[in-house]
Amino acid sequence: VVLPPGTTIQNYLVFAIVTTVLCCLPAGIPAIVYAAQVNGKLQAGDVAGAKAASDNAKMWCWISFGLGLGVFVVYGILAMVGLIGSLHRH
Amino acid sequence: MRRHGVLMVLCSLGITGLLLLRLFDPAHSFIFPPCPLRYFTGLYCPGCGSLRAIHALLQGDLPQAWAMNALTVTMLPFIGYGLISEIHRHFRGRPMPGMMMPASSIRALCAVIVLFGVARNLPFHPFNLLAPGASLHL
Repeated sequence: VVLPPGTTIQNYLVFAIVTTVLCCLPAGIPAIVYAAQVNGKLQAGDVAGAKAASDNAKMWCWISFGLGLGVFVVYGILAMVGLIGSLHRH
Repeated sequence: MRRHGVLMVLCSLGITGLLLLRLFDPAHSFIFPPCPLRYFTGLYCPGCGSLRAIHALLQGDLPQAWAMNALTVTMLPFIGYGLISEIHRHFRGRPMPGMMMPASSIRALCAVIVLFGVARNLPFHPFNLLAPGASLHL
């Protein structure tokens, strides 16, 4: 892909893959699809379209990350409640 | 300044995660949550087993890691390079060489991830070997 000098548009592909494969979250898939769109539109010379796709990719990465973090927090609270509960029984 | 903040938080989270994964086995420790998809539906997602795989790698056990999630193990070197490239981009304003993949390659990668997720749920040989840990019980 050849870009005009000084132009880089972030496609967030790395973060999309990290949240998909490491957090096991389906929300990473749209992030990867938008990452592909960023590069596809850049290839076609559509810088504005690439920018829009980039914003979408970023949003889905954060959704995916937020869901992962949310699961982690909720699980942490439940684990703590369970732990305290089992301490009380003994 | 705010951008540095986000980078710092993400880096600290990553390093903390790696330390925890070095110390605790996600298979037997209650520190790591189970995969929500697996918990609620019983299905494996493309990422299932990746925490156990990274734990095994941090213990130097490549066969165990491979059995847990072959896709994650395959992609880790590239993910590592990508993460270094993101830090490089943060400070230098441009990614490292080779990071601008054609859109078709990214779509192919996406298809591989989805197909891996489907294949490891198929209940017959050889696809059932892709489920986390399945190839350890041959």
